[in-house]
Amino acid sequence: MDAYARGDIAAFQVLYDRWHDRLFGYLARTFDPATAEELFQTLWMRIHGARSGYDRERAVAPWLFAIAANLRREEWRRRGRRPEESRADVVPTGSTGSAEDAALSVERDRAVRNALAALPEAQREVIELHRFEHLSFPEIAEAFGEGVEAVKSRAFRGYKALRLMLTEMKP
Amino acid sequence: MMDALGQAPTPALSAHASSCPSCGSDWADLQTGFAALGPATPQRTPPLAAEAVRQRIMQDLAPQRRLIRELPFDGLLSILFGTAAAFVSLLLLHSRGLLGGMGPLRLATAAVVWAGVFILAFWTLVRRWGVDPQLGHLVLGALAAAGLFLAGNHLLPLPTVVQWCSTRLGAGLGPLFFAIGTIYAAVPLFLFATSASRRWHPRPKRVLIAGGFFFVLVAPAIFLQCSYFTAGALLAWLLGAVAGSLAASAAGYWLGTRATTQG
Repeated sequence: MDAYARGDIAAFQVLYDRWHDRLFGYLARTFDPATAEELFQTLWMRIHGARSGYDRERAVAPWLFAIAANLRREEWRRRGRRPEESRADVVPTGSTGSAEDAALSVERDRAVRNALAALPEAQREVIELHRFEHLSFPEIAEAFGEGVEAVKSRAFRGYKALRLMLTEMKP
Repeated sequence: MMDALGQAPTPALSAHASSCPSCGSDWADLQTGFAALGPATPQRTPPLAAEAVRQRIMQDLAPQRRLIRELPFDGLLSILFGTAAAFVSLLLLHSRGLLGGMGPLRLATAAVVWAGVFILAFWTLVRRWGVDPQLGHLVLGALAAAGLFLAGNHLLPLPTVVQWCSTRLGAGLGPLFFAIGTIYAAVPLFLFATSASRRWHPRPKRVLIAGGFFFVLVAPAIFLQCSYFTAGALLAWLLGAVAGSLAASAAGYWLGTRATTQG
């Protein structure tokens, strides 16, 4: 990241190859594919524009996801509503199972998405970064500029609420 | 407890959760909630979008890398370019006899200030180019507009034009210095602002900053040429240059942006 901030193209390529799918997934989990694609471009332009302000003492993941989370919030505010609860389903990449498995997977994804969308924004953001982006609690706290305990507490409440919702949704 | 989510719990945590009903219940809730979300399905960026972003950023990085490699001693180069630009500008004025009768102290002071302003402009250009290419372009444009102003002033010296107009029209020197000073500043800056707005889409504030830079670059020339005239004439010309810079920046920005939108 440091080399990229100094204008090294090879360093940018390494960073981009490592993170672009994850950042796209983070956006695609909330928005329809066309919006996610549009936001993905905006996100990378922002990352590129902000690279000179990157603090080399910080880890890369919280820095990247902080920018992505801000962009996502802005998009929600712009639309004046919560994330989409019933957007077109995206078939996961690399699925090799039967049609029945795929249908079950899509159904489960929809249930998870609906449950996540029903959570308060503060809890949902933490859970998405922890559960799907595999960020640790200290990393999430760094991304949001908050204390680790506050982030853990939000995750705790979120996971409990999700358990209840997903149990109720089961046929 | 939260840290162990999704991982094998530590023996101490397992032991505590099995003996404490409250923590055991919380732990079970959390594990169930965590597991209920299912596996994270990986998403792939659409190849076209991924490649478009990659190319865009690489294009943006490419000129920076070249510039940094070609200009390693930016401070030294800025001093060299700035001094040379001030020297050439003074030479232009001298060749037109516009510096005649000026005291050595006044000339030396103006030359040092002018060289300082040019050095600052070149330093901003070289140093900021890599970090903020748009600002680099704007400073380069302001330098080009200042060059155009000096060339125009060399071909048709403003004090001469003012004196000619004053004799023919009988108008006062102050208003004439203001009006013609406005035109002399406005023409090069208008050309620069229009083309900059079309090519680089800067924010309006930035075009005005570049206009300010232009004014600072040409102000010493105005100061030097007004040695024959009163302080009022100098002030009128300076005010004219400010008015021309502001008006031309705004008009050029508007026209350039409009042309881009329509295009």
